[in-house]
Amino acid sequence: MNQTEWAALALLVAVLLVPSASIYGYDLWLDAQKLDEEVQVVWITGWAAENGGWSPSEITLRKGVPAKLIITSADVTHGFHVPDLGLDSGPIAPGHKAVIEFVPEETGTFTFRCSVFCSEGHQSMVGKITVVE
Amino acid sequence: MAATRWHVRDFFSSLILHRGKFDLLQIGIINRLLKHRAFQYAAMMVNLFVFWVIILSGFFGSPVGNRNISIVFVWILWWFALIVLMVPLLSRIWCTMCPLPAFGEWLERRALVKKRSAFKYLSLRKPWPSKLNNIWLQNLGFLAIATFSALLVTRPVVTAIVLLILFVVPVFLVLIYSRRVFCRFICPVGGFLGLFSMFSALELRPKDKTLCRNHMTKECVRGNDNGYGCPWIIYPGGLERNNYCGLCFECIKTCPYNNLALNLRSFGGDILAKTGRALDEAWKSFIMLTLAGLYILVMQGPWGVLKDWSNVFWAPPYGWALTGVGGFLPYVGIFWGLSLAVTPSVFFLFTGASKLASGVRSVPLKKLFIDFSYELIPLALMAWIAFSIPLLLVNWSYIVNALLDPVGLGWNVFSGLYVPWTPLIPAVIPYLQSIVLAVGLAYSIKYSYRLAKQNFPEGKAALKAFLPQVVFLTFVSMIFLWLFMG
Ligand code: SF4
Ligand code: SF4
Ligand SMILES: [Cu+2]
Repeated sequence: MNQTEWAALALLVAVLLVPSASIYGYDLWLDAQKLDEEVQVVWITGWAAENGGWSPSEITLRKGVPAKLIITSADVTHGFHVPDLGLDSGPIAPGHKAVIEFVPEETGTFTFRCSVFCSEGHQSMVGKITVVE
Repeated sequence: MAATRWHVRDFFSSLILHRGKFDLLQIGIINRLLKHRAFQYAAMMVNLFVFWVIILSGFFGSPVGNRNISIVFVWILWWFALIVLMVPLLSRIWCTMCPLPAFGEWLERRALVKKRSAFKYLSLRKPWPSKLNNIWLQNLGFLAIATFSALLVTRPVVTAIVLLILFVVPVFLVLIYSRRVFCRFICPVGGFLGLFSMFSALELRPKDKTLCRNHMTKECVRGNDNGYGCPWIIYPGGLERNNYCGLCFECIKTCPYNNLALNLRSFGGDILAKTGRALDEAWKSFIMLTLAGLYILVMQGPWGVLKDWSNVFWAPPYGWALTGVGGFLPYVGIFWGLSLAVTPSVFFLFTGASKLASGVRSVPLKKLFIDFSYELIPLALMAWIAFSIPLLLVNWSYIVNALLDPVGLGWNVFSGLYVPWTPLIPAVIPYLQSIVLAVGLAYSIKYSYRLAKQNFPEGKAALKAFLPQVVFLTFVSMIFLWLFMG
């Protein structure tokens, strides 16, 4: 093989390896991060309003402790949206989950709602997050 | 060098005024680029990188479709670029840079860039079965992918798996049959790329066919030290239409007479080419036209009810979603039934009417049916473009967000960089779509008449045969118009 071929082969290997290694490394790093801290994990399931709405619809979090919200949809596509905290999961297809991680910085009550038009009762699909000391 | 000077006037007159053709190879830099052996390799490499990231993020990234790069890039950005820009303007230029067949090709050549001398393909070189020497497999493959598009667009991992399969299959095909049989006969994208490239403004053609015919060694077919014989298994010196030329540019490297041109030409140039017309391509038109309508109906159409019933596909305001399997069977039935049977039958009736109206009995109905089906290409292509416009205008924010967070793991939740979903000019979209469709209709009508003239050169017969076709084309356009306007 001549020089060009070797260079081309090196490029090919790099193109395949670099993204793989970066994603793998990032995953490892994420896991390592999580071990250090206390995390408040909350599972939330979205149901269309007719089927009961958010479950649970009231959540309490402690201020200053990292929170991990794992949100799933049970029936149709929903989205988890907390305007006052600037959180938005984007749409979540049924059976899928979205993970939102954030640190509650202020105490108070924050409304969350569905950001995907899911049914006639879409507007009433609301819940609240209470952040306490 | 006079030959390599950029003839500005020729360039614009062929592009805009459709007067004559302009050979892009006259432009020195394009000529040198396309003749460079590393050109295709480099182009494939860029896309290999992108596809690889897409596959990885499909397996390891966010499961939420709209946030995951694989969904956003493949089904919004790539699709849009392909159907709105590449196909109409640059023919099968996608196939120049498509990474899917790359591994097979490199393996059988045992080279990435260079052309080995004393060369032998690493392949059994079995002949491709003659029963499959058509695009029927591609027709069915495209329908199958279309049927499961709800799954593909909502589950990044499904997209990743399909892409992986599309990387592996060509390798085996190469080892058995050699060269681009995957592209020619299997690739589900290849079928419509071929059909729609007939409308494209770019073509690769021999300059002087007599020179080709008299050229005994036919290097474009056999290859030489500068390049490989046509990997797409065609004879470049005989090219009359774009369909199965993958623009790999090997032939412009191998031809010792520089007898190949890469012309800009008028839109729709190949529709009147008489070679190669057949039922498999006719059906490709029916499938594409029907699916364009169905996609617009289901994803953007006026009936919320239908969306639910057909196993929801497109949930406003966010886009893609799949909510169940209840309505799936009727949905599959409609997709396959309409595109394989209903549309062709209706078209058959109108073609029958054309034959009756012409009063000429010597032209076989089957020939007429096949020939006239090519008039559908502009309309079908424009319908797909119309479908793709809102795809980008409505979903552009996903693309930005995916770029900010390619693996969809939530980086941008921390950084606060997140573009909310904001459709662009939603009120104008239906009008844009209608204009695009009207352009397609105009081209279709133009070619319909010229196809009629090919079959009925004498007297008023062509005009009479043409009228039922106009009715059909207008009728189809009205349906689309109704879909756009809701
Ligand atoms: S035919 Fe398909 S696989 Fe082949 S180059 Fe074109 S898009 Fe890629
Ligand atoms: S005709 Fe030329 S550019 Fe087209 S596929 Fe064959 S070798 Fe490649
Ligand atoms: Cu909802």
